[in-house]
Amino acid sequence: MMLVDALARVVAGAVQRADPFLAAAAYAAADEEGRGRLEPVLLASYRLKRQFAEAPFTPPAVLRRLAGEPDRRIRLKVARHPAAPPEVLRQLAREVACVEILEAVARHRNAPAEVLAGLPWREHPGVRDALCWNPRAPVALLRALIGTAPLPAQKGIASNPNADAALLARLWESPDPYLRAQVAAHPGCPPAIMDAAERSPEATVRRMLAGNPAASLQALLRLLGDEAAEVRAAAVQGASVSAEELSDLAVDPSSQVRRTEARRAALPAAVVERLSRDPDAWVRRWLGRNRCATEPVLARLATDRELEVRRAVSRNPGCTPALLNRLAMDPDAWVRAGVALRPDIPSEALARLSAEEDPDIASAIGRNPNTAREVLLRIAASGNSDLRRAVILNRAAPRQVLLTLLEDPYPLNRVVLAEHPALGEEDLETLTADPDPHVRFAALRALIRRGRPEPAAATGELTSTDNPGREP
Amino acid sequence: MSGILVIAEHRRGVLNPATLETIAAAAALKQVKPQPVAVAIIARNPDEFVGQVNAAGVDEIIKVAVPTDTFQSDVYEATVAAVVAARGPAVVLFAHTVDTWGYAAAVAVRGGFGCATDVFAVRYEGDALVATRAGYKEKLHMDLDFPGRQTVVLTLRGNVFKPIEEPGSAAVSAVDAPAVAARTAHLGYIEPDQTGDVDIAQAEYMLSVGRGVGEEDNIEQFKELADALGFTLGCSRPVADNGWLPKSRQVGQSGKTVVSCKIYVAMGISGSVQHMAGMKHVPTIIAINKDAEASIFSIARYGVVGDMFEIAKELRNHC
Repeated sequence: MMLVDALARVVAGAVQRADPFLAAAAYAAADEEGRGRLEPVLLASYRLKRQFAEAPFTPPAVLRRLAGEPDRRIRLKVARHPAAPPEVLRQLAREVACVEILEAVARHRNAPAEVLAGLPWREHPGVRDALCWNPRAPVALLRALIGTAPLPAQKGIASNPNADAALLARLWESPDPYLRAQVAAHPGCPPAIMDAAERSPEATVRRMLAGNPAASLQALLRLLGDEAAEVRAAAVQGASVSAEELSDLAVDPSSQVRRTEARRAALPAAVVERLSRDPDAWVRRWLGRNRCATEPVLARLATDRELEVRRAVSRNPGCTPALLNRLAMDPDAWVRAGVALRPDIPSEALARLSAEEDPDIASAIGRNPNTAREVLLRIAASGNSDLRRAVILNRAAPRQVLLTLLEDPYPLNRVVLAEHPALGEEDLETLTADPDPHVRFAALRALIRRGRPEPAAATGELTSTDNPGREP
Repeated sequence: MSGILVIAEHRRGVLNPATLETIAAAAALKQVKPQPVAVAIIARNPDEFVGQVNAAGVDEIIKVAVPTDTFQSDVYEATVAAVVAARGPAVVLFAHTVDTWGYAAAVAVRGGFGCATDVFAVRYEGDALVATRAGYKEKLHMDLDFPGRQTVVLTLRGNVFKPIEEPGSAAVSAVDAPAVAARTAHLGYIEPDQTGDVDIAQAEYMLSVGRGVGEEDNIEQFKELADALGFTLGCSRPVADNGWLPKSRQVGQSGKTVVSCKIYVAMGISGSVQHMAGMKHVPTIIAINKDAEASIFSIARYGVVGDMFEIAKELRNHC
């Protein structure tokens, strides 16, 4: 009952202040009567309708309402909105007079399969082509589409997860090597086509097959010996190969193959050791991030002459506290920043890095959940809006620190701040009276999500200063 | 009215090299239509720059001593107007710079002169001066003439006219600067941020990644791709906020503007207003995004609706 009363007050406040952004936030939670009162504020002008129809933050409830607008341009924007709900797309799919809307529905990932199947694709090539690429298009529809689909749309079918073996077999007959490569990469590719793909003279086809998670181990092992480095590199990623073969790949003449091997989740210690001494810095970089890199290897890579290799080590979860303390003294700030980002940062390193002024380090310290309150306060008082935002993004930042940022001069920071869990409801109420409309929207939305929307400020008088360009 | 007047530009005791390019343009016009070329140096101590602007083709160097070395648009506007009144040139040439944006057009308005900015070609057709500049975001080139104007003011685009290296033997004279009460005061210089591994403002080819990159470990493959392509890697705000790339690589309102960029590849960047503020001027923007409705496509010359990882992998295989 309290929630109902509170919502009624929010609605009244948004209406009284004629604030479309508060109205948009309140609309989703309001009852039928409340929505009726909010709509004149929310939809007061064409400009506002257009703005909400395309804004990424617009709640689905508002999109539902906008889908019923008489202006076709508004409905088209709703059909193109990534958050348009399935029922809205179902409604818009009946707009047979507007091809653009039909195309948008045909492309939309939220469109239900039966809606897609019912679209008039025979009359509209644009609708047909969009359907070919839609992963929700059912296989029966894809079978119908393939008869008239041009080559680019056929590639859509070849990469469509719903394409079945029969469709893929038909597409494999194409003379276009890229289309055949797409077929070879499809997890539903029939074994006979995979065999043919393995023997294909086109390296692209063999490479795509090597990247197919459904490719057989035997095929991958054969592809590891392929003459084309790109094929071997693709195969080394997926193949469950023996230590001996991995050892051979570690000395492959192609750095592309060795780089790919250095990214593999499981590597024998001897291979790790060999790759850690690879002359190609990218191999060492990938290995530096690899969780299977052993402690002595990480210790050696931590002294690598390439700073990005040392940075990679600083981000490796397997780094020991001793190594992190050493990297916290690295001559390059980017490496030290990698340590500063870690939630498992040793206290010694944290103390050392908390005193640094380099923006990447200070930002990482600002986001670190272990950072001391006084350090956060210092960073929150920085003249650099990015550093202040780092504190705002720190989910462990205490409310007392965040209060110093309620009037941050950069509006985006206040929008982000409104999402912080440590802010009290009274703080969010303060933000509902913010001069920036997106901050007001974000604050009221956060209040509503907490289930206790009682923003006293929302019932006061305040002139709305619309700022359509900013994206919360 | 006859002759060409070039206005020299300097800051903190260093002559802007664009001045020598402007002198080269004047010398080229002089070759087609013989006329005197003068260079005006407006500075606290103009003598500092006399030797540097004394290039082949310059007939006169005019020293104009002013009370300050720092640029003040009011002072420059009134001083250039005084020099024009004293010498009566048919053409006044400036480098197209942040300084001249502030006063060259005002000089033209004050004298009722013809005016064109950001000019990259200039020629005579008979007696008529014709300047070429771009329009509609560089989509077309326009020839401008100035019928009925006795004097024409032009600001010339940088890196177009090759500076003259051969020294000249110009006469040196002086013109008194008028007394001007500047409406602005120079408080100091703010040095550009020297931190960071690269200066993306200077990069000509950029590949930037956004939120679509998903997680930190995925950044590496785009670094590798940028490296292979010879592009500089940049990012949108969320990537820098997460500490996945240095702040110095952040493009946008709270980051940097990619001033010199010619080709910008945006991968997994939706195109927030803040990000686009730093790159929308780039002549060739290539956007790659899964979402066909992403805002970035509205400013892209080429758009690819697709998976940034798949496309990166394909590109990498063709490098």
